[in-house]
Amino acid sequence: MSEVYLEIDGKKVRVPEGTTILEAASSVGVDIPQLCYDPRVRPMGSCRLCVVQVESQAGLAISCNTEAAEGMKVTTENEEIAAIRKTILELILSEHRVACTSCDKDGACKLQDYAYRYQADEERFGRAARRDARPNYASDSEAIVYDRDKCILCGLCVQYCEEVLMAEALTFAGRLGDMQVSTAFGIDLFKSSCVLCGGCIAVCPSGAMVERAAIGKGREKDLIKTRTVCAYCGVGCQLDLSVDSKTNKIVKVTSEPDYIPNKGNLCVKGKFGMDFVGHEDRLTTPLIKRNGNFEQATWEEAIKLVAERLNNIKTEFGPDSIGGFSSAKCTNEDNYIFQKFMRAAGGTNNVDHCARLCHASTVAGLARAFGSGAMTNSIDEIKHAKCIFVIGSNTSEAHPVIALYIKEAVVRNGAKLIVADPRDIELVRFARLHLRQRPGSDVALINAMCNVIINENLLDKDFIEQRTEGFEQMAGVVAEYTPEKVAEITSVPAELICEAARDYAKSETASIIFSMGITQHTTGTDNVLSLANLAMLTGNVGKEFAGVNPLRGQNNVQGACDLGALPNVYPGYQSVEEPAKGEKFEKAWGRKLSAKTGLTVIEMIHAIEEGKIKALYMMGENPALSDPNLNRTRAALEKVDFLVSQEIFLSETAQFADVVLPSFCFAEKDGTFTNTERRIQRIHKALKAPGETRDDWQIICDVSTAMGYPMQYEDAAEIMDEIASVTPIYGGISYDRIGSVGLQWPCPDKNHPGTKYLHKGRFTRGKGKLHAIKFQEPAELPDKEFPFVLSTGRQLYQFHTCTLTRKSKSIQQVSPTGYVELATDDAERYGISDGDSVQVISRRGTVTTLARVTPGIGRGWLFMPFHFAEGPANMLTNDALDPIAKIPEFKVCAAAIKKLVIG
Amino acid sequence: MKEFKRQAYQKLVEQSGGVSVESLFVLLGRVQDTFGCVPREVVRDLAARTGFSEALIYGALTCYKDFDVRPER
Amino acid sequence: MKERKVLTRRVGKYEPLDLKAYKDMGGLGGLRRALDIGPDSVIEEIKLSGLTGRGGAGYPTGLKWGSAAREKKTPKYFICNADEGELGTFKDKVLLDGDPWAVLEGILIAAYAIGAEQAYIYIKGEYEDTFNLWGKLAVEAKKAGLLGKGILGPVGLQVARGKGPYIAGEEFALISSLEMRRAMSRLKPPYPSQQGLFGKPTVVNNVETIANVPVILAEGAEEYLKLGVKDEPGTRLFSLSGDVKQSGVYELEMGSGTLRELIDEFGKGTISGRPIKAVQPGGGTSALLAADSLDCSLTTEGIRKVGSSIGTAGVIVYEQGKSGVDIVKGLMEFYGVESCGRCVPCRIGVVRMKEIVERFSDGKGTPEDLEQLRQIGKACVVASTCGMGQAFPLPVLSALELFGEDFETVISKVPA
Ligand SMILES: Cc1cc2nc3c(=O)[nH]c(=O)nc-3n(C[C@H](O)[C@H](O)[C@H](O)COP(=O)(O)O)c2cc1C
Ligand code: SF4
Ligand code: SF4
Ligand code: SF4
Ligand code: FES
Repeated sequence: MSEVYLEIDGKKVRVPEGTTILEAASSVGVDIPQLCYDPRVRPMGSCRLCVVQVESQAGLAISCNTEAAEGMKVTTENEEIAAIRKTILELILSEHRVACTSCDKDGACKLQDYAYRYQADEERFGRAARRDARPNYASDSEAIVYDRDKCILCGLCVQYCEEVLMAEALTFAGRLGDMQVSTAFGIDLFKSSCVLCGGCIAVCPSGAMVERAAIGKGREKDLIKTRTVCAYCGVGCQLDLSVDSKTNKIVKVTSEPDYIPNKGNLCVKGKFGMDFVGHEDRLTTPLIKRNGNFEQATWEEAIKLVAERLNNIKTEFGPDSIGGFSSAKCTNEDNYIFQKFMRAAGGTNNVDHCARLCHASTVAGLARAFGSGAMTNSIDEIKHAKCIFVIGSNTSEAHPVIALYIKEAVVRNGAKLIVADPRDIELVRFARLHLRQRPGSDVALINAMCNVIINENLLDKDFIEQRTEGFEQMAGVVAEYTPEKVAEITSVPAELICEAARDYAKSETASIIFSMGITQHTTGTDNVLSLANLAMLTGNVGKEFAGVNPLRGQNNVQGACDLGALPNVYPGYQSVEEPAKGEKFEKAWGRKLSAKTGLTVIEMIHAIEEGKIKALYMMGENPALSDPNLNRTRAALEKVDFLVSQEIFLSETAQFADVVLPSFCFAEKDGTFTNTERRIQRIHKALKAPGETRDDWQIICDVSTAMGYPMQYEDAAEIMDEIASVTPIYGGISYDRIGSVGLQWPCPDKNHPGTKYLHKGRFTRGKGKLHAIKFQEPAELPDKEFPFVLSTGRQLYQFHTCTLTRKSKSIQQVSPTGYVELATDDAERYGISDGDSVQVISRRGTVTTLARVTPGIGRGWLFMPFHFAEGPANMLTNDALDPIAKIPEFKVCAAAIKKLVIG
Repeated sequence: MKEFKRQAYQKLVEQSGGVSVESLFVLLGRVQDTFGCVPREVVRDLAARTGFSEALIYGALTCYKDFDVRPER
Repeated sequence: MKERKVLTRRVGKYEPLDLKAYKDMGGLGGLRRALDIGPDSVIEEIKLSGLTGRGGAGYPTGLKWGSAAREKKTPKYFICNADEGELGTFKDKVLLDGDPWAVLEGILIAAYAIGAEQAYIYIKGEYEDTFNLWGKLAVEAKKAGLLGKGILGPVGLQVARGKGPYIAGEEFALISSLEMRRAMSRLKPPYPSQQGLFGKPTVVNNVETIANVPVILAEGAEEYLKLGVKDEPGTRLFSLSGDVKQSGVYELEMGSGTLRELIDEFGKGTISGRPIKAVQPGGGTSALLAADSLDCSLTTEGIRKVGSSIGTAGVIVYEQGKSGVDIVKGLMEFYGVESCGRCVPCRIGVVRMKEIVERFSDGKGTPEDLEQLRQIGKACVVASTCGMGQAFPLPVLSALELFGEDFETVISKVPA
């Protein structure tokens, strides 16, 4: 991009073409006053404070909407401009109820700052009349307050909601004195299309929009802001926790436009879902179960008990009678320590975590095709892709901030979006093509796309020749999957399949985005391999903006995998069965290690039934709600001889434990998370942890030491140094380098800048491997008795098992309880109306929940979010496993539904 | 909207050659002239059919003195 | 001074829906020629003719068309602005009712030249009869093959009825309005010819501007250039109103007389016979001229020289006996509720200025108020987005300058 030189207040400035004067000025520290500029939206041009003088131009220029041009000489303030600014501010104040004394924005309010700077007289043009306090669209919202008397009608909130979120919940209504921000017909915010991102609050330059829960809880000067990373999903949004140090409570959560990767955007969970941190239900002391009841215990007691029991079981039944569930919620350092503990102190590779339930097939599939199992591109690259193929990902609900980039790619940059999903998910609104495939028919669909690409010669021949192997075999199998034949299997019209294949193949850069809709099948690994085929056939991997991008679920599921919380690999995906690796770790850890791949999450549960696993150590996992076939899981937890749960709440799983160890939550920790784009980011301690809780890695170290394998670290940074020394892909990572933008692995040494996208020039495994994959039906198909296909999935407002999200009033207001979605036709046939209580039944259990009737789902299909403890969807799901990745088939099982008749 | 009104509305839609983004303003003008107001059901229907949000249409309508829409609170 | 009827020559001479009569009087000649010479030459011809916009801003029409025609994005749109909202301006209605086929012919030529398949005419809400007439006209035109899949290829015409605010006549507010958005102006750039209706290249032209187009094409630019003066060819429709004996719309060749002549000869002097106090030569947002500035030539340049602007050529006359305060009070009553609400200075400033003017009118003004009027007015003029904010303070500021004593005399004697 070419650059222009200009002069601003005598300073020489060099900026890329297309930069506005306002932005150019701020790049050299010249602060032009503005109340309506935000880098994420097109200029509003409403406040008019940003006027400047451009030499040899008549009149004044609006600097937020005037491009910097070569040779321009700009004066940002002179007497005339200052006088105009003062007048403008005084005009605003003539309509603004100045109440700085009791305003939550005090100290963080731009209007206040400028009024002070220009010494604006708040009553110069008369004192603002108080409007009658009629209720408005936000009056009953638990999340947001809107005060018309403080609103300066800059329009940023409306614009943000429309342009960035594309939620289009807000509008201006009325004119002049009546003009105000509103929803359609002034309906309650929580009944509108608002998704509670809080963005409108964030962009508001005045005190007009604020968080309801934060009112009166502290102003700028009362709060301490700590920058950290969100603890919910894998996007890894950076945010600031504002804590009142007197009460040790998080007052509000904010983020800034220059934060990576989220650019200051958040979703409801990050914004309004932090109430769990200081919640009164937090565990504060160790608990030991005696005669079926939990009793408070001291740390010495608890640790001694855990160490003794584990040692005894290990001596009596062998090391492989112990299993551990590590946690994708915990830091990299915690995970490293946990797996080291299991392997070195426990002597077993029976360590796994919930990635098994979400992306094990991704890791297995992409490792086979490319050599490493992570998102190939960066989040920021998505918005520049020319074609985006979203399959099996309801991105707007599961990874809301990434959905913003997809929408931006389409709406602002003209990308073609293809959505393959059985439901009318939000992204469908933006898609050029919507393929509504029958659940579980993905391999057939993707094979058919490959078939079209081969037949119509849309291949990237050079890429296939130079960078891949296995084309012939693969092409042989794919040849059987003609669009016509596959139309019958998938119920997607052949023509649509062809168009999708063409859109994908003909675009200069095409990016595949997928998530659990692809992975949670008995054919999960096959699905992933097929997607890898598609990308390699067209050369759409190993380059910027194009690739294969699994979106990871938990905030640190990438890190937990990276750091070896998996039964088959040490940190950095180094195989436990490879002698050289084993030796290396034996040396590093000073213990003999097992070279036998351990058991996975579901296998450990099954091994309990068989009496092979006697003790389980859980760090922050909740299988009693998250695992498939819950009745079976719960029976196993009941059965296991000794269960330790290291937790922040007494979760469904912790209830089964013999010993509960209370730990820190993310806001109380220092450490790192690795997000879905492989970015290692720092989290910082923002407040004091409750009661006697301890850091997770600290607890593990204490238990380990008590078991006779001493582990001791000064702090998390020291653990990271050890990680770097044994984990090549993390080799260059250290706290002083991570800074505020993070580093993306692979980062092999201290001088390596990190890796934006993978497989450039060469795949991790050398050549990329195309696989010949045949379509197989899901393990359980509908039949007479269970005529529906039931899928489970996520919903925007809740997370995982709701342990955290349900503590938030704002979230409870919009998402009070679980439900099952069914098609309007089906509802009619079964005499079910929206909101009815229904029973959903499968071979494994029965659940009572509410019906949500919608045209947005195909006939014969049921969908349930899995989050809710009342009506837990996982009572119904099938624990049939993918043979390679051992991931259960959450996405397809046969079910029946019936209206609940009371009495 | 009462049933007879729905029919009248459907007729207006037909007269306008269906619903399109390009004719939305003209169509809503006819709705106003015929009913003396723009009912919420009409806004909802047109939003669904054009891909515009209800908020956007509502906000626009409140900006013209010759359109009559009433907030629900 | 004599009227020169070019655009108005057929007004009232035929039944408005009678296309045949229109043709018999030479109608559609411009369209035929346009089809003969092709779009590029049409635009060249308009550029040559020196035609400028009659909606107030006076931008060269040929340039506007040219830049929209150059844009690659499709579809393109043409909008005929018949919102005629400016105070003291009622000339478009004469053409819309009296020679509608000529306006339609102009619209068709414009759409053809820029490559628009969809055209709109946005008619002021109050002009109910005009709106009804145009509804029927569109049907007739379709029958005659002028609209629909007709002789030009497909061209549609939507007849839209304005729904209220004056600001909806501003081109971007008008575009927003047709998009079913709030009637609010937008920042420029991008201009409508780049990103107009639904983000597509769009030309907005005033009714009178468009009525010139068939004339230019039928007779040729060279012939047209013989009208008016060198830098300003053609005629203008002056709407004369206020305190004159005979208000009305008069079509005059550019530069064919002075403002005073227009008022005296066509308006037959003031109602009461008292001398003129002030005149707004270009509609309600043009600066006031005092009686001693009226000998200016009726051209853009002539009026600019004496300190006002030709704007919409809506000449509003105020006679002696009216105070400067009364004059601006009337104006502020109208404009005071018309800001689109985008720009702070305009949105709030217009209301504050209205309040202050009312205070003077109630005899409660203060010296500080005078200063405030000047400051707010200035902030609006220099820091607003569109013509509304930039212009509504002009009559007030000029009144303060020309008739300051009218304000001084009503300054409250009672200390506040
Ligand atoms: C507040 C405001 C109101 C306007 N109202 C009208 C109007 O009613 N009719 C009109 O033709 N132009 C009006 N304009 C001018 C238009 O913005 C635009 O310049 C014009 O329609 C362009 O056509 P022209 O180039 O043929 O003059 C208005 C401008 C402003 C700032
Ligand atoms: S919270 Fe987000 S979605 Fe809701 S109104 Fe505000 S910006 Fe729109
Ligand atoms: S609420 Fe805030 S962001 Fe929205 S218009 Fe008012 S001042 Fe601007
Ligand atoms: S100047 Fe006034 S009318 Fe024009 S855009 Fe600004 S606020 Fe709207
Ligand atoms: S920042 Fe430019 S007008 Fe507000």
